[in-house]
This record gives sequence, C-alpha cells and structure tokens, in this order.
Amino acid sequence: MGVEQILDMDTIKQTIKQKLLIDRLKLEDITAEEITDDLILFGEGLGLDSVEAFEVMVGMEELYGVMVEQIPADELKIHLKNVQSIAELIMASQQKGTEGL
Amino acid sequence: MMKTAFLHHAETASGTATALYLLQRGIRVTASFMVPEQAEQFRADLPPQWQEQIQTIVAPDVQMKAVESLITGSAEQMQGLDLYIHGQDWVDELEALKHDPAEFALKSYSLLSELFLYSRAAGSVMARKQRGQIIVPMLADSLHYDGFPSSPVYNQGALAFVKSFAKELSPFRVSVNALTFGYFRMEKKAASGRNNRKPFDIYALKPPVPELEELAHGLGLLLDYGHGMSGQNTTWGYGIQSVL
Amino acid sequence: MTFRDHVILITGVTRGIGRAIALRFIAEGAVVAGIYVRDDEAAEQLRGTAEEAGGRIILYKGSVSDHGFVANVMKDLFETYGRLDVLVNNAGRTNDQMALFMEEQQWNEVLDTNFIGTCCCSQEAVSYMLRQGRGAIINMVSVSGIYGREAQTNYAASKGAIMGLTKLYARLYASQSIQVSAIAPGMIETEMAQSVPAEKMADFLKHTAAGRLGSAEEVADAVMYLAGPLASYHAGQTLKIDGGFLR
Repeated sequence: MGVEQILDMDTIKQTIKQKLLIDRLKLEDITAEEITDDLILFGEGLGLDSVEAFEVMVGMEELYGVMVEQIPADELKIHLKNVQSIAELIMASQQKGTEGL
Repeated sequence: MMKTAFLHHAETASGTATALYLLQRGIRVTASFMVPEQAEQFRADLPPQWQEQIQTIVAPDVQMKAVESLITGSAEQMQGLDLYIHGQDWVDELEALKHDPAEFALKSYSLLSELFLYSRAAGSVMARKQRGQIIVPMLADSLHYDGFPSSPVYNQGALAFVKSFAKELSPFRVSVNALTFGYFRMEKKAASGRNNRKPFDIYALKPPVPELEELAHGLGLLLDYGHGMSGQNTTWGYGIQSVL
Repeated sequence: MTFRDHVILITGVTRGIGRAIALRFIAEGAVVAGIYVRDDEAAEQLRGTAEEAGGRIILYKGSVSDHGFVANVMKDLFETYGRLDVLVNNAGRTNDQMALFMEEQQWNEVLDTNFIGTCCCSQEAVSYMLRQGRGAIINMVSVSGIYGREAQTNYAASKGAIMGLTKLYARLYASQSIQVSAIAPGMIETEMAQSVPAEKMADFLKHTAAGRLGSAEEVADAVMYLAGPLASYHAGQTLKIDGGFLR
C-alpha cells in the first residue's frame, strides 16, 4: 500500500463523516471529529436506525458511485459497521473501477 | 424553484397540455413520445419561442435498465431533474374489460409496471440529489357516467403506489403526489353553456367546465407548493371526491 | 344457515385468513372449494379439520394466475354441484423492498399473483354467476392498498388495483345481483404479520383504537356479511377490518 492510497483513505473517511453522515443525515448534535473510525454506526454507538441505513446506501451511490443494491444484505451489514469498514468498501470499489484501465 | 422536468407520454392530449403549461412556466422540459412521428408533429405545432426550451425523445421499451438510462441521461443533459411527471394515456377500463378481460388485466398490469419503472428511475436521481417532485396525473374515474374514459384500476393502484413511494422518499425530501383531473370540455360535446354543464350536476350545481389546457394549470398547485406535501391526491375540479 | 349447500371457492385457502374463511363456511354448512399453490401439508391438515367437523371440502393445487387451471377448477365445480355462489379472492403474497432497490422480478411476482390472479378468478367466476343470476365476489385487499406502506410499493399497488377492479366489477354487475366488494384487513394475527419487526408492530398497535391485532376469524366474520343477503345493497366498496388503525 503506497502513501497515496493512505492519504486517499483519510480523505474518504473525512468525507464519509462530514458529507455522508452529518450532512446527508442532517445529524445536528455531533461533529466530524467526534465520529471515530471505529464508532459503531447502527443500533448502538451513533445509534442510526434502518431508515438512516437506507439513506446511507443511497448517499453512497451518489457520493462514491458504489452500487450497494448488488451487495447481499448480510454482507452489507458488515460493510456498514463503522467509518473504517465503509471507507474500505469505497476504496475497494474504486480500485475495481480502475482495474480495467 | 422548479427548473427542469421530464414529462412521459407527452403525445397524449393531457400530456401536450401539460408540456405547454410547463413551458409557459419557464421550465426546461424533456418530453418523451411513443413514436418519432408524434415528436415531430409536436415540434411542428410548437410556437417558436419554446423550441429551444424543450427536448423531444422517443421512449424506449419498458425495461428497467433502458428506463434508468433514459432518465439519468436526461437529468445529466438538463443538468438536473426537479420534476418528473408520469403522463399516460387515459384508458377506458370498462370497455376493455367487457371486450377482452384477459387483455384488460395485462394492460392494467403493464401500465402499473411502467409507473413503477419510471418513478423508480426518477426517484433514484432525486433521492441522490435530495430534492425533487414526482407527479402522477390521472383522470377522475367517476367521470365514466359522463362519457369520459374511466380507469379505477389504474387510479387506485397508482395512488397506492404514490402513497407507498412517498413514505420511502421523504427522508430525501422528495415528494410524490397524484393529481386527479376532473371534467373538462370534450371536443365532441359541441353544446355550450347550460347543456354542457348539466351532466356534471351530480358533482356540483352548474359548475364551470374548463378546456383541457386550462385544466393543466392545476399542476401549478404542486409546482409551487408540492414540496410541502407528499403522498396526497389533489383533485382539480369542482365537487369531485379526492378520497377514492 | 344462510350458506347451507352453497358452493364457496376460496383462493389462498391453506393458511391464515383463507383458512379461517374456509372453516367458517364449513361451519355454515357450505361446500368449500379451495385453491392453494404450495403447501401440501397445510392443505391436508385443513382437509382433516374440515372433515372432522363433518364438512365438505375439495382442494385444488395450482396458481391463480394460470387461466387454464382456474377455468378447469370452476368448470369442475359447476359440473359437480351445479352452482358457484361465492368467490373469495384471498390468494396474495408480499415481496417487500424499498422501491429504489426493488428488482423487476419482485414487482412482477406480487402483481402477478395478487392482481392478475384476482382478475383471472373473477372473470371466470362471473360467467357462472351471471348464468345463475346471482353471486358474490369478495376481494381481500389490505390497508396497505388504501394508505400505502413503505417497502410495499408492489403489494400496495396490487391491492389498490384490486380495489379499483372491485369498483369496475360492481359497475358492471351489481345491477345483475352479483355482489362485488372488498375487505381491507389491518394488522391480523397471521404469518404475514409475523414478518413485521416488533418495534414497528408496537408502533402500529399504538395507533390502533382497539390496541391489538385482529384475528383471522374476525376477518371471516366480515366475509359472512359481504357474501350474504345482508349486504345486498353494499356494492363496490372496500370495508376496513382494522380495529381503527390510522393506516
């Protein structure tokens, strides 16, 4: 893993926290800094519910072009565990996207 | 503020009236037609000042991928999709059922499927952008007593679809509403004044009977205030029940 | 007994509401015919229960949207018993998903069984009912078809369409003594209700005047009214059996 990719990871995580979660879900009582990479997002931790899961899925399609509908539900649950796992999913899908080049 | 719209089935009489109204409102329109000849005819009849404001296209086969592609492509081309209007031909279900029940069932099924595919595609674009309005127009089905085509199956099915979809899209601030049109002056009814109003006494005493073009103005209600309501059925006309 | 020796055809008969309706008509002395598509074990169980009660029941296995099959069932019934008094279009299925993620197949399956199936059975039955100069068709819809429900654009649209079909049939046939109406059950204690998450169900019940789920038998009670002479002036309407549920 090169330095470039690590930087990308940081940027991705930052946009997940600010754009995907705080902005799109209109989370008013938390800042991006307060959302740690490993904070559980659904149920406990940040306490997002199933409606917000749906919003996150659509947000991921808009912000990163990740087509979540094709991912089986139980697999998706793992990907949406925390900011770190979402970032890894986005990273993987971006790499897949460039594979053909 | 509504700036861009996709109008499906612009070839219908109500579709054309709707297209003209949208253009009058300064909205950029992509209008789909069933066959190229209809699109050409529409352009030929269109006043010059609106020629640049509208793009006409021919609708593809009703398949999920093709529809998705059409809608997202049009949204990109217009640089936005604020409004999707699901126009469709007003079918006479009573006649269809009497004539060929199996065919009638399949036709109703295909109309509802078309509504699903197109609304889904439009809703997807709008949910991502977190803004937009979907409008499903229909003709009041009680009007069958007055010689209008009547479609209770489509109307009731579409309305249930609208209400369900509205609940799903509200987190994204996208509203989904039905707009039911009431009676209007049909061409073949040459009589004017009192004789024209009498058939509608059952709805309201001596009601005004507008032209179809005037009827389309009812869309304005949703264009201007539709962002504040969703899952509703607005009935544009005097005395017609909006609760089906 | 109102329905003694009447011939009743119920689709989706082996479980839940269909089953309760079947047993109710059996108790009323009717001949009950039922269509089911999958569960042989449940079918045999129903047959056992009906026969133990001294009732007459005939079960046919097939799909309500298979026109040939449906035509044969009704032909068989009419040839055997010389009458077809009531059709209850109860066969229905769900395949829930948010519309934005719903596959075409999920949409088609539900519209097919629910709407096409109801059209198919109704169109076949009505020809016999016209011959005998009377009959009743009762369509099982849902409050979802009236108010809509999230993750059910397919189910709601199919049930809404059936509500429209109910009106259409009433317009055509009410004046010929064929009673056509629909029932919209709310939250009923059946397998279908079990798939609603507990938290959501609690919320639904909070918004229900009766504060509880309904029973399949309570829905069957409404069928008894709509299928019989007490409902002779009840036409093309959808009757909610929902304990006063907001939606």
